[in-house]
Amino acid sequence: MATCGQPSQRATDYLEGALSTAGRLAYFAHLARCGDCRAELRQLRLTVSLLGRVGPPPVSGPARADVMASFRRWQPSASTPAVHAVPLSVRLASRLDRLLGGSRGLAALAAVLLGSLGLASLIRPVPGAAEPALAGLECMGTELLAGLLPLAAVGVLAWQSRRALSANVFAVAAALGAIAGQAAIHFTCPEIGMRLHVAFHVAGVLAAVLVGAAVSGLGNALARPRAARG
Amino acid sequence: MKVDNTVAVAREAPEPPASGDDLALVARLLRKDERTFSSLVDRHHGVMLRVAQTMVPSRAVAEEVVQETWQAVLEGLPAFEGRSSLKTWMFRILVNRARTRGVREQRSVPVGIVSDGDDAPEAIVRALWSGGQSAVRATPETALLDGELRAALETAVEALPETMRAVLTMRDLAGWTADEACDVLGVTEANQRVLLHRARVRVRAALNLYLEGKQA
Repeated sequence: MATCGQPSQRATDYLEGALSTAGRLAYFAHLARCGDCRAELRQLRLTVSLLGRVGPPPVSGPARADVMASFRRWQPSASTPAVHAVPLSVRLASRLDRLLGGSRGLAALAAVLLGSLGLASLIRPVPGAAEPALAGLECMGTELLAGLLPLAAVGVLAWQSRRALSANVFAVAAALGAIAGQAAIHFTCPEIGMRLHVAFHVAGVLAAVLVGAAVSGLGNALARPRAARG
Repeated sequence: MKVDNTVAVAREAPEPPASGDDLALVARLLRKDERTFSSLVDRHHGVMLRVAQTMVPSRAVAEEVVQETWQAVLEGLPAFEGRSSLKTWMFRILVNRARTRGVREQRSVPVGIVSDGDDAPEAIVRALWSGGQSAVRATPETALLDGELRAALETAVEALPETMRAVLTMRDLAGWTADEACDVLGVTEANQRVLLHRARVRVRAALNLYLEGKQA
């Protein structure tokens, strides 16, 4: 019986499926001649199978209790983008009038887009949502649609009836929209925990109120000249 | 964000991304579903302890590292983006913490009962074969080992040097894939195989000695 005396890396490479076809054939050819290597392969296999049956060490009761206690204390925190999104959207909205001056239609459009953007950035970082790019979009779309409808409806009504509405009316519409948005996202994306959700979007409602108030300035500016003429 | 920095491992190899199951599991955890967390602890705590023990001087320190790791996992969970599997993400946190701790604690390398991976005489090999085979046949395929043989294996594993022991723990004790072990330990595929081979050879040699002792 041929012997080679050295523990061979080839045995593990073979077991790991890391040998090329040629390497495998050469190894088999060697095994046919070498009793040591046959024994080694056999024993390595046996060793691996025995190791697999050792099982995990028992987890001590107190250690487990500590881990579970830290879970109970744990408060999944909201992530930071939401915090930044609110002041940003408010600040931009409050400057719309000045920035866009003459073109009121454009200003109104920008206000709506900006509101959407603010809300969108609030929704996107919801932790635990499945693939952020996909599920996030879907949840975001629903919330935006539900959230902006009341605001748009009030704006169109004011325009149609040529009446100047107070900032409060717009703000209330925006807040209602934000709440409708929450409800919508709750039903379309139920994997997002409601509790987390509420904490997360209180800021969104506030932002919507402020954006609504800013938009009302535009709405009134649009409505007033018509009302004066009519 | 602290967690993200500590787990950043400079490796170009593709990581297995988180499965849908992982993401669903994270969503349940974020809802504070205690049963989900409890089963996560059942699944990983023991292996975490084993891996941590390869890097720190004592079981007590390893226990602390594992506790800290669970804490860090919870803190980092809202920011978990599923770029790697939940398991590798968790274990990278563990390995980072254990390594930091191991350096700080001036770990003492346990003295191996097996001096080197050199070959055992043929008689011992035969003893291992017959002894090992009967031990295997005595237990059903899926049953866990018990008693002396298990203790002998545990001792052999504990005697391995740090990285070998970590690789063997993940691959053979915990049944991980090679990719997962490479990913968590930051070693190349080829390096991982070499470490695994040396570790297995040493455990085999220790088994030889044990089974020879039994036969004598």
